[in-house]
Amino acid sequence: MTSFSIARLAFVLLTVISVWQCPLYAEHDFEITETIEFFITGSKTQEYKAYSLHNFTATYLSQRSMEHNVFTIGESYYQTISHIEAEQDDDRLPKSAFTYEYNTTDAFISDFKQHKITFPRIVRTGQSIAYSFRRDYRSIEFIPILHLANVDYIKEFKVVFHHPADVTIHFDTWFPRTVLPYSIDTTQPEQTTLTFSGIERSLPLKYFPFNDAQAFIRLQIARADTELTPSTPPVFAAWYRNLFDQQPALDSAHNSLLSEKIASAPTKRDKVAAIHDYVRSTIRYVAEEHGMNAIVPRPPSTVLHRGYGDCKDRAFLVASLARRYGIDGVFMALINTYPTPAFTGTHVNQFNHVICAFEENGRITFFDPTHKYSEFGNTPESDIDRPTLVLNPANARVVAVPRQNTLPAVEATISADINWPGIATAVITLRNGALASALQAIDNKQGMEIENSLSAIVTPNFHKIAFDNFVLQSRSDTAITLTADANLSSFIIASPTKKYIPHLPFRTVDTELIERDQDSLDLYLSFRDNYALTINLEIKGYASEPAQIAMGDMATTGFTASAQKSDSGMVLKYRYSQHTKVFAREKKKEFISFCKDVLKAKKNMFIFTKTEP
Amino acid sequence: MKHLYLLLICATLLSSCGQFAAPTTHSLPTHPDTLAAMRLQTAGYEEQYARYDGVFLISDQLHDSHSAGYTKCTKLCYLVLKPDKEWLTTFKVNTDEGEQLSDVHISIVAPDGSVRTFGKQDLHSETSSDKSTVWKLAYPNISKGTIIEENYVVDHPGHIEWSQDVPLQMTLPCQKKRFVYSYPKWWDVQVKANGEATPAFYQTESDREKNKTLFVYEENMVQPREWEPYSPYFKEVGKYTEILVHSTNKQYRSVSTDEAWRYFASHYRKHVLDKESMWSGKVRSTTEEITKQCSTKVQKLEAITTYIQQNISIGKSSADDNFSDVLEKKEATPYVSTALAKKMLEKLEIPSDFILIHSARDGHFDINYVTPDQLYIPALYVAIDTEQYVVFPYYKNVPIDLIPEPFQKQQALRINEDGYNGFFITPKARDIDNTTDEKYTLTIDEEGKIKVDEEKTLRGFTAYSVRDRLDNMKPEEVEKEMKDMLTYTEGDIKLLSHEVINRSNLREPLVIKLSYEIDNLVTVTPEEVLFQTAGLLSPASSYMQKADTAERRTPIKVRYTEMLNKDITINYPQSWSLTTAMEGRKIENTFGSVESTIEMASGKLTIKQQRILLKADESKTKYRELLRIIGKNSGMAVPTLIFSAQGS
Repeated sequence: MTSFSIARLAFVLLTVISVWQCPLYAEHDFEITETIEFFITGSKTQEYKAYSLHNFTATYLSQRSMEHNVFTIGESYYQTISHIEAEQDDDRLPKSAFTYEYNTTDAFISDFKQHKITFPRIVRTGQSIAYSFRRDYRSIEFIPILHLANVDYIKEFKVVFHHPADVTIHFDTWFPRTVLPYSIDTTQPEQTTLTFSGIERSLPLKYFPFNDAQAFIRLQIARADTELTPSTPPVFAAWYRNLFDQQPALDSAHNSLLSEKIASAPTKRDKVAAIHDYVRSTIRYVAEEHGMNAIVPRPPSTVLHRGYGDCKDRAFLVASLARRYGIDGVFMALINTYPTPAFTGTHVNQFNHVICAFEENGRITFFDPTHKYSEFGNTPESDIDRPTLVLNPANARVVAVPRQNTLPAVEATISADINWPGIATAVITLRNGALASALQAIDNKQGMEIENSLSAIVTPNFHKIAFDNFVLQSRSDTAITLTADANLSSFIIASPTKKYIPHLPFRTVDTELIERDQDSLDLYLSFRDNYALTINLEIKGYASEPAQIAMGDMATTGFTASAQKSDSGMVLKYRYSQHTKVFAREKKKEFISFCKDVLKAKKNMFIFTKTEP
Repeated sequence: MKHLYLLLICATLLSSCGQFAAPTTHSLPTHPDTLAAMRLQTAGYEEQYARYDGVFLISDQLHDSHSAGYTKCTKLCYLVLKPDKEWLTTFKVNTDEGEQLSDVHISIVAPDGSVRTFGKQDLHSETSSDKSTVWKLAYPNISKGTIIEENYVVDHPGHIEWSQDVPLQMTLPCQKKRFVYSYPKWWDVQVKANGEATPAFYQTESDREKNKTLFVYEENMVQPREWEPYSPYFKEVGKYTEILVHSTNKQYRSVSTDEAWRYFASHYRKHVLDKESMWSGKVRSTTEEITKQCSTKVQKLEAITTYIQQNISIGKSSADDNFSDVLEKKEATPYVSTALAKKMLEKLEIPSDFILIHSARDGHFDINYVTPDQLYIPALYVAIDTEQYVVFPYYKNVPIDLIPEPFQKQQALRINEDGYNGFFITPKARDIDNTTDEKYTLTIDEEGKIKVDEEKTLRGFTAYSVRDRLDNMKPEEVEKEMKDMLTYTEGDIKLLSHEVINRSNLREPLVIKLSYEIDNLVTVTPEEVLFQTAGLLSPASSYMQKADTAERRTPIKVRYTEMLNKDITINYPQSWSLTTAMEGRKIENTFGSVESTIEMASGKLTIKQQRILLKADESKTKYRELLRIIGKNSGMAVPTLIFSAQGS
């Protein structure tokens, strides 16, 4: 559900070279040379303009590489492509080798065009292909973040800037793995050159989102103290806000749309929540990324009139409705739902989604009106931990979206008898992402399909505990409660004299994650597990001792389990909580160590001994 | 290639007879008042069709061939039940090069009765380099209960649509479905017979005024097309029609069905098989080179097939390219690659037929319906001694004795150097190809650490799939793949070794040997030892869905018999004794059986499990029985084994 498609520019660059993401071979399969020449024109009194010429050559070095003969180039409204040419072993390709089609995978309507160059089949090693094209930028701000692909072997990657003498080019590099050597040549006043040479491919890793890249290069272009590319949050926010009317008036048909709801909401926060609820439940998600609407929202009256919009349309509608009702502090917030290079500044490639931020009394609340089932004061998992640029004109800044609802996503309370573990009952509460998935199923499916969907949301989180026959008990914005039958007959292990109950009832740690203790790179998960389980257990004929287990740190990532005596038997309480998705350096070591402990704990048991013959 | 023959034969028969057939009149957009009134009919639909995104109230299509080309008129009227579904609340129509979109008239009736209309001027268009265009509109203000009617016409002047494949069931239930195919009455047109199913068209009308003949299909309350596990292919049970224009002049259709197939075959002989260069000896020299180590005909067949699979990629072939060019360019269509294999066998004096196979996915094969739309899967038929081989030289990693399931027991046309060589039925797969053997030897030590030696023997399509995944992988990637194949998914696992046997020996079973240690599945207490089997002692598949027979919508089709054999040996310290009650069980029903046998000895437990799923065509009401065989509820899963630690 992302529609702020400027990040597609980055995708374009990735896809230009990503056709080379073929299986990895011991010997080199390709030798690649890429040169990008930027031409900047303009002056203090004349608008700066930019275009770039791209030259790419690849030499085939192995039999296995030969099936890769198709290359793609992305084009958007603000980065148009022309002069595509290609040759194979010095023979120019005919016109029929060049095709294009619109790529509307993410948006219903989009100007995003995918050019395809199809080379004849490569038949022997040593053959080479080359292609070139020109890219014109709608304005200098749209010069993209460059990307040094993690491909087989890069002989040379060169970026040459031709620019007025009073313009400076700064290459801000970010390396997802190790720092690579490069050189910058500024010996000529009107030319700045960056060169990487002899770059070998790195092995891909699990839980690492930058396997396709060796380096990212943010291009900062300036004249004296003036940023020509918006590289800091205030400058970026000012540039972006300047692209569209910030104070559009609502038309008469919609001017009083929410007056009653706003009037009846007691607090400012409630009023914002009412606006969010209206937009998320009423406005359909349809992305029309035509022209500049690929990155700027449509006026709120247009969105209300149409009844549909994309993420930025919806976020701007919320901010505009808040302004209409005199509620200050509601801003659009630009975000990327995928991990991005950790540059300290901003860049036009950085974002793929827009949410909202509400600032009140120094407290900031994020919410996402694109997601129908994400309540006010919460965001979908894909937004959490991601840096977001809050477009507050007085204080534009980048902050990470925090985990706002810290309650367990799946919380179950089971009432069971140790002697009849197959016929237990459960009360299950779902929140956050689990809530969204469940509501999606309940609202859109029927009968057994709902049952299977709820089972697929709940059961995989638990180890050897099966849930069945779900019945919806209550539904609110923040949680739903279900009752279900629970079967603990596999979970509770019975021997002639004892019953054993595992210390760990959750399926959490992926064993492949453990393998990441072999490298020093950061660990990126796409999820945060957050579960709670209580088992109220009748233990007639059995006895057990209270016990307490703790692993990790519940303030970051941890697990606790306890067995306590109760009036009717024992109460077992389990809690697993993971607060973040990205683990760097020491945190990564701690997290993997914790995961190993959790895996080992699978064999540990609470023991119940038979007291009656 | 599919249409090559058709164009050829039609070009031969094409003749203008100087008559004129006017376009057939299509239904007009519904008056807004009538649309608004339809809201009353739809009361109750929200509940009745709650599981669907909407309901088609009217689907009226006219495919009209006339003297000036063809015209396709569409009227689609539907009730929106889930306004968030983009596909239902947007307009999206594709036109190919030469086609023209016109008469766009869209009406939207809101639940309050208000009506908005849109036309072509409101559409956004995207034209690709192949001149195809997508026309789009996102409908404003759609809510549950909105009725939308889309009317539009696609014309293609001067163009004849020789064949058509029209599904008559849609993705949603349809209250009133009408499809009309109209054509000049002097044309020779055929509708494909659909086996024993009732013909889709129950009316044929004639429009005398316009010189037209009409095929009309009308039906109310048409069920949507659905996919469910173990359901037949759509064309095996669904409603569809295929229409073929033989000629634009009836009097020129003089060939019999047999003659038509002969003509069809001769086209392939001439344009696909007969491609040897008069001047180059490359086919012979390459054949000799790649078969020089082979002593038997089967080895030679295998060597040639593998060579082409590995070296000639699927792509375009120029009509002028001969087989030497193909070997040089290393790229060809599947047809030419197959013909090249035939030519190479010919050099070795191994007779073969180029065959075109009907796919089970295409439903019934109508022998009287002569078109490449029925026969477009090329392969090679070779009989060596008593064995019959159907080989696919363009299908990488498919061994010479494996026939993909949709092409088994199907009609196939044989073509040799003389052209037509009759039809035959392709063989079915060998039963052994659908058998998987798994062998596990577990050794548990006193501390509870488990050493596992696992051996999987994969055959048939399973082996093909794994080989295809491993294709071109370097050693570290193979190791990663092996880790993904480990039976245990919940363990603290250390992979000690792995071996893939017969990775490139396609005709032998693919054997995968894994050796690993697990350190978190055994709980050792002073009195007892618990072994959590983590799925090892589960004989069936991972099919986890619950099923309500009442909600099953399609009949059950198990397309082939398959067998899984598990042989598990658990060695444990002599001082332990197994206290978990273990006994053999067997479940048997129409769909097969699941059986386990147990042998216990001191320090050793041997479990043999077998699941046989039989080929079957059964009613949907038997779905629960099927789940007894393939589901998790066979009752044979043993989640934990308990041993008493006697030595303590």
